[in-house]
Amino acid sequence: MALFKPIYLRFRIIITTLLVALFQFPFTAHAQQDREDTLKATVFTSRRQANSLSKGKELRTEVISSTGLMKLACCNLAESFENSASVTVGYSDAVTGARQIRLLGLSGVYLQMLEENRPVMRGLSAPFGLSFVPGPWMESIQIAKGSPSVINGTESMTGQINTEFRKPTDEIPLFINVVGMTDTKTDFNIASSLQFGPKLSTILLGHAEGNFKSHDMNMDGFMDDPMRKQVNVANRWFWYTPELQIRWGASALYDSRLGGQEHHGWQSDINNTRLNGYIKIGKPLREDNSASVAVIGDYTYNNIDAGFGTSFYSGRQHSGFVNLMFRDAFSENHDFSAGLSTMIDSYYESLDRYLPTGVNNSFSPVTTNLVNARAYAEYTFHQEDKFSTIIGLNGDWFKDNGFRLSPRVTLKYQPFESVILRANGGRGLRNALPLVDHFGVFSTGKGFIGNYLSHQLEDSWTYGGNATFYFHEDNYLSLDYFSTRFSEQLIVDYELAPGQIAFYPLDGKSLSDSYQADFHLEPSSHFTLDLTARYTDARTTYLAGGMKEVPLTSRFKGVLNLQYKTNLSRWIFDLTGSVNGSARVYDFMKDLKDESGNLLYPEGRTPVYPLVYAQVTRRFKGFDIYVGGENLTGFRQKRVILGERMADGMVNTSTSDFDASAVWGPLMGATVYAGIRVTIWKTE
Amino acid sequence: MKALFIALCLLAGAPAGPALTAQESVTINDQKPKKADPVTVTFKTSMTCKNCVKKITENMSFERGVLDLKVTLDSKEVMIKYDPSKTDEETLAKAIRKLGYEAEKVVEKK
Repeated sequence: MALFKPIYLRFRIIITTLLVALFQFPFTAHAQQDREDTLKATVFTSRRQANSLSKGKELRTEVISSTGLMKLACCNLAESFENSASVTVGYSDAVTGARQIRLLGLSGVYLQMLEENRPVMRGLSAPFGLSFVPGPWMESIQIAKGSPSVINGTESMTGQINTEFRKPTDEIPLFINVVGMTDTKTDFNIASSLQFGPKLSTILLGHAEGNFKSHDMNMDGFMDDPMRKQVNVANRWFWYTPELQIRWGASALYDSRLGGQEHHGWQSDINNTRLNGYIKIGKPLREDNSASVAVIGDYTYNNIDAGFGTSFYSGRQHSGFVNLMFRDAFSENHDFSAGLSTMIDSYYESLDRYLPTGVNNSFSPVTTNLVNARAYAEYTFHQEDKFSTIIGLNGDWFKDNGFRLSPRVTLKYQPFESVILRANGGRGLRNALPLVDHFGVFSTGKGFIGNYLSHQLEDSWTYGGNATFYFHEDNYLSLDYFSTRFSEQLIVDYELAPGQIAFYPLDGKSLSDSYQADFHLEPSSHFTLDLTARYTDARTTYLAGGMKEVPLTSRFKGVLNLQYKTNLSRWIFDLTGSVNGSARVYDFMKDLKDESGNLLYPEGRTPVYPLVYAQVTRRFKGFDIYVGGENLTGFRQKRVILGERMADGMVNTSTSDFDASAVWGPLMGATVYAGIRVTIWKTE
Repeated sequence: MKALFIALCLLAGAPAGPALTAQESVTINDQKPKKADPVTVTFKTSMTCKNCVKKITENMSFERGVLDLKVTLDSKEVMIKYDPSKTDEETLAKAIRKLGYEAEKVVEKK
């Protein structure tokens, strides 16, 4: 109870302050009363499903709409995927709070992240980037599996995730969201869309978060979640005339997090700063907009200063991106796009890593310039709604790797109104960033050996298909299969030598096969059911041991999502349950025992575990109140911090056995949250 | 002083209490207000995009007396089923106009 009192008081102060500040707006929530006279009131609109498969897109694309984003606390982009079986969310390690995602059984570094079709979350912002996108800022998320369009480049090796943000043209001069959790994490979001006439509009976005108290529920001496503070602001503008469209914007972020041992000893102290500016200009070349030219320019600065025990990593990144596109739909059936693009990344990194074991992985400040220039072309053919194909070709020149050609093909065939068949395949390329891509390596006492400074070009081919069967309006059954085969990959091997993490280029096969079935049912306008099952087989060739299952990658996942809405969506009840399949553990984890002396990982595999989320939302005119819970079964990974135990039961962080990066399950137990969303619409 | 103020407020309301109770009891015993049959009206609006649909839906759903709502972007029409004892066509039209859209009643052709 003592825990709740200060949270309740802070919550009450925040809400009171907001209500006073809002008094000047046409705020009619106080006049709203429950209407007991409603007779089966229903709302028929171009109603957006929370999670759905896009019918129109050629590529298999899952869309999480604003409705879906509001099913969970969804404090940031990482948490938005908690009820998606396509994307698996986890932690890079047990101390920094860095989140990572997987698509098609492979690390999120092989996914291309886009923000309104601009590549983002690259380089130094990748480890924490998913926590840098506040959930309430987003309008929708599109998850495309396979090899997407060449227009945005070929870094999309397993797929692409595009986030759409709230728009300057939204007639919402004020939106506020405040949520507090029982682990004391509190989020505050504000958005304001303002229109200055028919041509010019802007949106201001603000976010602040932090937690007031640390916890060590599993009594291992390490904070379950780091103490963190984040401030994030963005401003976007939109200028529109039929002859010219310009979008531009800027954002700034500061994030700090202190994790590790609470009172003394090993700690991680990480500070991130990010600045971004962009401009997008589009000009129609014909009145009917069937031909156009566009240019996108983007600049990002990332700075990360990260301390891990006695080690210290510092990185600065300047990235510039320019994309010039031409598009011509020269007939009803034919569409052609072509363009030129360049991406320049300049990294300045240094590492002080003198371990108590005597290992020295330090390196002096080193500057790495990665330059990529490319030309691309894409042809699209439509035969009404029956058949369409996209054939793309991308020619890349990499500064240290020469010229590479990347074709991509997508086919979509709709033999009947109720059946859609898709096939897709293509090549993907990206420069590896060994230490940043695998940020969890810093949370260990192991020495790095091999190519940990190499920015090797990784090369893969992904192909697959999807069959979706619709019945009775929007209900569907979807089946898909995707496979990724690497020809070049940087392997990070925790098992090659005891006390060491080896980085080396792939010598052999590396592949991932993913099978997924999605079932969506809306038996009535009030009730929705989504059931998804995924099976993944991810294997890589390691120097010692040959081809083995990739560690800590779950074999299967099943997700059930139920939603019930009362008349006019006055009350919304959401329940999400998932079953997470077993994964192979590292060889050095096989003999781990629990407090009772039983093996934690019989047969060298993690247990199958459940996750349950629930939320109740009460909607009024102008505001929503919601209460929910995460991980309601309270399942937690045992013995998250690995290493030699001292007399007091705490892990000795001075040995090479120390490892806080072997995370496969939840770190936090059950948490409860409550929040409020206030939406003030523009009125005459 | 504060206590006196509260006491005065209570006293001011007290004489009305029994009278109101009597009034209510007269109403309850004598005749319950009859629920009116729902009425449907369709308005032609000036909405142009999905955001317009969202704005109208989010706001009109919570208008007093609204029982049913259908917003169709293609035809730019808003169909509302309402309780005539709680609202009327003019009030609903005003509510749509307040959101920034035209609202002309669609007269069904016989």
